[in-house]
Amino acid sequence: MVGIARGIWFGLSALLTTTAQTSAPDDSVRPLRADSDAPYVHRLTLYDEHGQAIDPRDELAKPYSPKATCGKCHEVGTIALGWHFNAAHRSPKAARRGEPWVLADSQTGQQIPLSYRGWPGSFDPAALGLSEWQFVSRFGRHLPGGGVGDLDPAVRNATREATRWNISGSLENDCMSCHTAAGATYDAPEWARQIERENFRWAPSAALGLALVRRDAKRLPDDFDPDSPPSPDYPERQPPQTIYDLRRFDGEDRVLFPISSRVPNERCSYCHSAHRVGADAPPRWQQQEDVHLAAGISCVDCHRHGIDHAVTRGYEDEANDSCQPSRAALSCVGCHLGRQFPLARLSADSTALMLGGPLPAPRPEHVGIPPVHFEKLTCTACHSGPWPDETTWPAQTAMAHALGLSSRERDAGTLPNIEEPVFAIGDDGRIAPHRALWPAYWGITRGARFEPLPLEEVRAALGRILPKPKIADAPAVPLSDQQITAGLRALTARAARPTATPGAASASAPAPRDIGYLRDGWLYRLADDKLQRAAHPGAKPYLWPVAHAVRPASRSLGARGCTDCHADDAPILVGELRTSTDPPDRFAQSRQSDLRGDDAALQRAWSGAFAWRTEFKLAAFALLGATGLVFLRWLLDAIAPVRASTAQQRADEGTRA
Amino acid sequence: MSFASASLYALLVAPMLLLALGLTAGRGPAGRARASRWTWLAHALAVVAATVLAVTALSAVWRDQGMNGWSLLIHAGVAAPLYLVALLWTTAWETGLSRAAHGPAPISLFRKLVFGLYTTAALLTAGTMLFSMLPLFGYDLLVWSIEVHRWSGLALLVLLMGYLYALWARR
Repeated sequence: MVGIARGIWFGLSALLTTTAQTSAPDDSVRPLRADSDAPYVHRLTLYDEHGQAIDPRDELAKPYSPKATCGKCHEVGTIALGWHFNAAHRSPKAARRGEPWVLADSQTGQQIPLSYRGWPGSFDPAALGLSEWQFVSRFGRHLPGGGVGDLDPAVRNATREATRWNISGSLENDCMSCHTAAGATYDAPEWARQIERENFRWAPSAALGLALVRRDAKRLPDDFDPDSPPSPDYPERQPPQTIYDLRRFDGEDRVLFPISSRVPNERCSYCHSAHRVGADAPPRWQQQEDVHLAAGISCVDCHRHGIDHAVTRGYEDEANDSCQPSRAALSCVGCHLGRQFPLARLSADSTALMLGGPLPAPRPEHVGIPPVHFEKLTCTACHSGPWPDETTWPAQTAMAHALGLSSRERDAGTLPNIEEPVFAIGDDGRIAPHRALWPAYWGITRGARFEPLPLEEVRAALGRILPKPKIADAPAVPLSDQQITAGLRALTARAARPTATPGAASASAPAPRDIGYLRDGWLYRLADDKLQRAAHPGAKPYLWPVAHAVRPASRSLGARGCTDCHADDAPILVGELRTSTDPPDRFAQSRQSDLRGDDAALQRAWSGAFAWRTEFKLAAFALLGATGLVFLRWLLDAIAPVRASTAQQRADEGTRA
Repeated sequence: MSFASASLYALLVAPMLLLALGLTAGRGPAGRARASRWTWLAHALAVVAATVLAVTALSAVWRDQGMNGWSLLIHAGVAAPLYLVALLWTTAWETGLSRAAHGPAPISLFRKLVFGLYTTAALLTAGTMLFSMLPLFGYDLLVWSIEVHRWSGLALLVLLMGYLYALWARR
């Protein structure tokens, strides 16, 4: 019932919020459909955002609009509900926590997990004073467009950057950012460059290589009217110019789009890459490749979806969360073990799910592994992510570290500091490998929560105190105690500053104890103007599960035996969790087992038991064997009278005969 | 019927049945063989170990949870080996009695039957888990062996009560 209710809530809220917030076109026109397994050749006329066909030879030609062009045949309003675009709707919660966006600022020593989805431990960008415009400007480099980039005009015009939105246009959902066929070029870094130049509406044309875009919307003043014709008297007031590559157009001004409904792995990788970094990290060519990709399976073979673009995420509870039983077949268990049904007679669809769904995979034997492991651990605990070591390792992800964009400065110390693998208890109560981000921010205590202060406020207070790094991607140096003390004093003084309304400051000014700096699980505060540090319950790391790269059975945890995990020195028990501020003794929860809240005595007992496991088995089998033999003797004795009686009976019969 | 329900009914009904039997049938004449203190200790150990095994297992079953943590460690690592020792001991004692029982006061058929079934259940219960510790069974067989283990373990408990009654009844 809960699942159904959640599904109904999901559907309704998605529908309502979409209607309210996004610029969704009318999907009432029936879409054109080819309904063939053969790819449909997309030779298309380009349309601008107003639905006007584009003349590529026109000097004032506008950039092509994916929404208008693709929307001629496809339900782009429905597509806008997909996972990649619907975060800004806030209501449709993605049931399982995923990777957040990270607001990282090395000058002020902050790394804050952000999400519009309301995932526990993350913060809504609006709560930090980050507008949709700022969010897109900061993270649009790895957004596919749509969502926060393509707000409903009424909503957009109510924002403080309405004039900038008007000049830059919407960052529409760019279908080609994912659906560019393998071998064709989609220039994602060019997309990022256009966003940096605030050329939002021009980004799809430039990224696909259809056009050169000259000039930056960023340079235009706020009062620029994008609908007014260019004036030679004001050369500085020229909007970005779209210069189409005429070689891409045929005689009827149509463009052959290199589209594939099966998204190539490379397109997924642009936003979903992650790898280990640091001095100890093996070179990229030596790092683990996902066993499925190595076997030729593509991302979209498992991460399937329909026109709603609700991409299957692949976790076990997804079928319940989404109220779509068919998704059960697209998890590890679904493919490798099939789904169990209580029904005696099954429909063909259910039988297919039971037998492994559309991608029935080899059924693992898991020889000798007690089933309790499958109750306590996810498949990924043993099979995914990097092999655990004495310490966690820093990792970088495309979304957090702008991988895919060239940089000379990015190195292992570039914020945010993400660690992996962290074996934590996931939302389903089982242990799974995670990536961890220890939030670091200047904030204020509100009730039981410690919430970050708006970024601009922090920068205004601390900008002159803390040294500004010369390079944006420069390795972050953790703030010293002196810097933290100075920062807290500055923020406290700023908060106590009188405002325009007499009396308001004294009424609302936070006490010095309320303002603090949170890092690595510790909350730093001033008490009697002295820096004090205490563990804070709200200072847990933000964790999200690692599903890839999947390791084969021969490289899974336990491949060398039980002591991969059941040993005093097993990394999943005593492995150190590193943070930005090594050494780890500065750290509130320093071991993997601490984070899970494991019973240390129990762990020692289990580890000790496994040290004697062979002897235990031998003794137990000896006892069992001896008991069996003695019992056999008893059994023979027990039936001896019967045997004697039968023999006597036969003898008597023989005598009589 | 689920195992949780079956175990609840079995552990409620069996003692009452034996109590009723004890009250109606009474206690028989003393047997020829008198148990030594060591034999009493062996039986006491079997009872204590079986009780710990039952509590650790059934408390998890009745809470609709899998066994893990301390309860699993105590169940498998402490109580089970002690129970195996006690089982060997009591079996040896019964066998000794049985071999010497061709005299004037033979052991009752009821006791023989109950002891035979009880020991069979005990061997099956222990065997399924011990063989599961070898790298022989895959997931499906392991799940099956756990099912056999829990049902035979329940039978063991009921039969242990019956065996204790048979010892008390001396007939």
